[in-house]
Amino acid sequence: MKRFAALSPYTGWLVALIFALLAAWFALGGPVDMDTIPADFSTASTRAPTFTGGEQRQINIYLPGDDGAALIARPANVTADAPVADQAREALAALAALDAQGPGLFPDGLTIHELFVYDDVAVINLKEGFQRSGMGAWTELLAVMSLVNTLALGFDEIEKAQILIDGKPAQTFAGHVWIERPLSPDTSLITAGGAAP
Amino acid sequence: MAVILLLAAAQAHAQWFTAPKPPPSAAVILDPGHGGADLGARTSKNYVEKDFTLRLALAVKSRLERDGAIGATLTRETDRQLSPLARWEFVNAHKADLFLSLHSGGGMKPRVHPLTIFIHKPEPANAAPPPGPWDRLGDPYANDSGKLAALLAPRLESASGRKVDITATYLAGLGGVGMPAALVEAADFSNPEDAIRVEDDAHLAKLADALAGGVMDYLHGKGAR
Repeated sequence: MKRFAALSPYTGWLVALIFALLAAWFALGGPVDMDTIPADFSTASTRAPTFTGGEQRQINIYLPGDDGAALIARPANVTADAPVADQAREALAALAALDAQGPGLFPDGLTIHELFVYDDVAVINLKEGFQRSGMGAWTELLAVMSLVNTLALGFDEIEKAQILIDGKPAQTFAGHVWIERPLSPDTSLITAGGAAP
Repeated sequence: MAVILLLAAAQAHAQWFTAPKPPPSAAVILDPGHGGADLGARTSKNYVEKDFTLRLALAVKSRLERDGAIGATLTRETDRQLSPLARWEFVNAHKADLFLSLHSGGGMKPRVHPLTIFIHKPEPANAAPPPGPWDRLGDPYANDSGKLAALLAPRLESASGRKVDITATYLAGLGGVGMPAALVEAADFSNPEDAIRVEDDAHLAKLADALAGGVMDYLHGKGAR
């Protein structure tokens, strides 16, 4: 009893410290459940950007004009203090929303399973299905480069983009344009000005 | 002397009015785009690109082979699916004089964009390294591919009534073809007028005449194989 009494001031602080650490650990999500990490991208669900509502900054997204002749830069806002992958996801969400109003580059929509940035490459994992929308070669080139240009020209951290379809590399996007490796932006497909879609 | 002059004049006259013939044993690979489960573009009436490209390729082949000077081989003669790599393998194994891949435009909302002829452009120095050396087979033929496209474009414009653009890119899958090559959008399935005409045999014949003529012009201009 005498011994316990001698240790009690330190024991109290130690117990308090352990409880504080445990509380912080659980507050941050507790132990990682490996089952929640998809074994392959095809099982991952579309994830909304994590960081929203912060300070906004403007970037350009690229979509064709009414004549489908070339890509035109259009402004879009992304969350400035979010991780670059989340900003990129916001940019592509804005691109898909604007496309649905006008050009119809992705007539069946654009579903992004995952998007992450590794080194200077943005890896975009798209849901299969848009290939059946019947793109011609030119439309397909614009579709690929609308994604690549938006990411590679809009973010300093991204130099190239690698497109995956349902978690797997594909030879072509929809039968014409080769996407089996990371693609650099192509500014020759961008024209100045143009009416909004 | 007069007889000799008359004979010489008659021969010159005959040569003048004879269509230029390409050198014998020239070989062409025609590639009807898509096939099998890969339908390609669709018109509003659900006519599919894979059927259009096969009909067009067969029509071009018959025109090229008409006088026996050119042999034309198709990557597919039936409705079957071929992977892009399988097409490369087939094309490069044949060591032909040129490669013509036939497609249509399509997708997006009805548009007025010109038809496009794609040719290979060597990649920029800072591009990601290609998966294999075969991706650069087309590099030495970039200039000849440009000449081929320049000969095809005006004939296709005349036959289709549409403006035709030439676009050089390393993304059109022509880098793996070791010969002069072009990918031709011969119609636009999104265009309401084209969507009707692509099913019409007379219009298809005009397109086939144009493409065969452009190929003959190119082979004739190249002289010997």
